[in-house]
Amino acid sequence: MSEQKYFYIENGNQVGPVTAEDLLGKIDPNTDIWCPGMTNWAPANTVPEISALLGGASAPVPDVVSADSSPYSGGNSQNYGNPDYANQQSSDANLQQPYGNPQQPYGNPQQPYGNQQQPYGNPQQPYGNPQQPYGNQQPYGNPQGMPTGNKPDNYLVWAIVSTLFCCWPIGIASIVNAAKVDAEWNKGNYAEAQKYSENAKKFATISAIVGAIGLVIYFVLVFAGAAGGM
Amino acid sequence: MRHFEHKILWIFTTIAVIVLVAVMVVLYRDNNPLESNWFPKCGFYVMTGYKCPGCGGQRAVHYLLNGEFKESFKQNPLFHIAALYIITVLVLKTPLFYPRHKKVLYALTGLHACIIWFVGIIAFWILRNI
Repeated sequence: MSEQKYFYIENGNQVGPVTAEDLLGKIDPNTDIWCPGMTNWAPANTVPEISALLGGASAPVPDVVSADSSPYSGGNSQNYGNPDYANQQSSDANLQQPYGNPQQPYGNPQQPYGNQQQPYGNPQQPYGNPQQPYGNQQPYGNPQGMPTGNKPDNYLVWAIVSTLFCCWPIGIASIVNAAKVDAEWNKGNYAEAQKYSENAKKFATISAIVGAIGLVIYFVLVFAGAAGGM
Repeated sequence: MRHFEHKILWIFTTIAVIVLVAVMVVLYRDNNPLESNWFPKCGFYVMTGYKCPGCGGQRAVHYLLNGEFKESFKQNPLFHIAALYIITVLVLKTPLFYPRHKKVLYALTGLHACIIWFVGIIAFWILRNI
């Protein structure tokens, strides 16, 4: 059970949040206080638990101490939202004027807590990865257990180079694998995407090596006079 | 000691690559693959008589090195398109450009790009033999 926090008015300023004990030395029975659950600021002595803490010396509102859920329900309309506090309990003249309608100087008493749900905002990906503009469904996590991070490179550029400049059969295999990287990634199969990425790279490399070896062999043959005019 | 050897290897490789590229540039510039025996011919063409997607690439390079752009393009148009594409993508991947142009990069290398390239290469292959 978390402790109830209170706010009180001191020298025209809102102070808090503090615990009930903290209020003890700081306020007097007529100090306006507020805590979550109250619809409005109210003098301390109208809030039962605080009034009790203060000794209840000048607690003029007997109804308030009833056992039902809302101590402030019922006929105590004099105490709330009404700038005209002046006529009820105590003789202190400085009660209401400096504060006016409890709503105004302090605003909505709810504010001190603000929206408690999202202090940090969306923890996922403030910048997203390049795929996000296209609606990549990463937040579902990966059933295969790989970390969802950035899409693995599909090596498309190298696949194209290896098709046009080196060995087209292997190069075409590389392009197909490159396409599958993106296809699987968009479907959420992260491990599959990673596998195709490695394949794309592998085939592009093999194509380049085959092309280079072929070239070397050809030059050797030309040198040896065997391949001229092939 | 290891760091020193690592650096030596790096320098050696870089020099080797530069020398190799220089040799190739001179070779391709001064010899027309049509007339010289120094250049390998396409195995696919030799065996089937049909041009593969890469055929004409060496001639294209030769003409380009001699400043004949139009002739170069005629030998293999796909090479020119691919060259522009490759340079663009590689530039966009560098740290200087990457952050601002992620969307463009993804458009150029994503699934749709893969499909377009695949279809394009096959189409080029068929059309150039008709």
